[in-house]
Amino acid sequence: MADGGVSTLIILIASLLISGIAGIVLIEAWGDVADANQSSVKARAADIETDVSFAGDPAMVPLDDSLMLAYELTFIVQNSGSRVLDHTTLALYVNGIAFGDGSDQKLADGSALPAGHKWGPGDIIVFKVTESANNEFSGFVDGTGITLTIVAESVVIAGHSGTDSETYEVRLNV
Amino acid sequence: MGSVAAGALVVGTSLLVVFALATQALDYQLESSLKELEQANEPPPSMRFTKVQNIEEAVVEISITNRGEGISCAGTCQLRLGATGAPTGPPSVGDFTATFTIQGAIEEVDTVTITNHGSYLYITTSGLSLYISNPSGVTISPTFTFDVQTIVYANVKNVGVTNIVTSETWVIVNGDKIFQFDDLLNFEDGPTDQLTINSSDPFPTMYPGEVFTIQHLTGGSIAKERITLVSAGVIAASDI
Repeated sequence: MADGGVSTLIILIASLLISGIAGIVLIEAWGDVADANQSSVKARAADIETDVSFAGDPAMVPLDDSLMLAYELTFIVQNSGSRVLDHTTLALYVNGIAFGDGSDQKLADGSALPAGHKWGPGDIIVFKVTESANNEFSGFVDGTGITLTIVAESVVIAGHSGTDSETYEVRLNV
Repeated sequence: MGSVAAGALVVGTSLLVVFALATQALDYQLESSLKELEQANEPPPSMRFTKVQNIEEAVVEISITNRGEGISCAGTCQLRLGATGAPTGPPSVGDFTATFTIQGAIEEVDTVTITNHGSYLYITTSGLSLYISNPSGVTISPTFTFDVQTIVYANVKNVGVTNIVTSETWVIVNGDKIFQFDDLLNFEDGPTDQLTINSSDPFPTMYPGEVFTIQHLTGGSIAKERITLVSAGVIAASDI
């Protein structure tokens, strides 16, 4: 009986140890799965919450042809998402030609962007795009239809940033 | 045998606790995930211009140069525009009307409120002056100057199911003049018959079904061609 009691006790302790180890492994495994799931959801949510839109009048996009050396377009762009956008990484394409974040950026009231400006939800920024020496806007006149593509990225929050792109058909107005 | 059964009970219970914790953790993660996705998928706003008009060469501002004395009126004191030199009974010119209040023992003009801007596109307004159209007594006639500009009025209706935050909504006139929506809603000198709601109230939110009136003083005499409203990336535009 004494031998039986000892062996039973050993089996019991071994079972407790194994079950404890199994429990720890299982909790860690579940934790990893949950973290991965959460990270994936945050990345997806960042994309969904990042939204940029053309905010001007699609039938009247200003084209300034009075400049001496180059034509200049003016685009009004709104942060239509719920995350702060990085205006320095905005990419503008006119008829498929890249113009980066434009030649100038201003607030709605015409003032310059302050240093470290945060492009918050609902806010707009006025982007100027001036053609280069290649005269990309040659042939643009009043009423010309062009394709504008905007690509924007939100600032990084908790290791994630979202992106969004929109393409519009707009008409120029001199 | 009893100790083995007790051990098995302990092992089984501990495993159940582990599974319960794991399931709870997964449920929590799933719930927070769904919540985030749900928040990110709110329906976009939807709005429409229901009425848009230029009022060209309208009277937008009145300045009092002499408040007058001994003024009394038959009913509410009213101002009209008429030919200079015939202040007591000229035929009024145009639709302009304004009212004013009287203050003090000397019964002078207090505040003037425009009730109809009128429109004087093909009229030389420099030859017109303001006069009291319904006086019952005047010791010294008040004198005024006025300013004319073209005004754009637009009624906008929230036809969607989403609240529109007016501070995050923008009005663009002729494609290049940008204004914050709520800056064009609070105006005190607008004619009351242009408004669907009291313009002296602040308007932080435009609820579904509401109609707001925009007043834009153009600062000049040229009529505007287009007006655009942008909220959360959604554009409503209209010819004027």
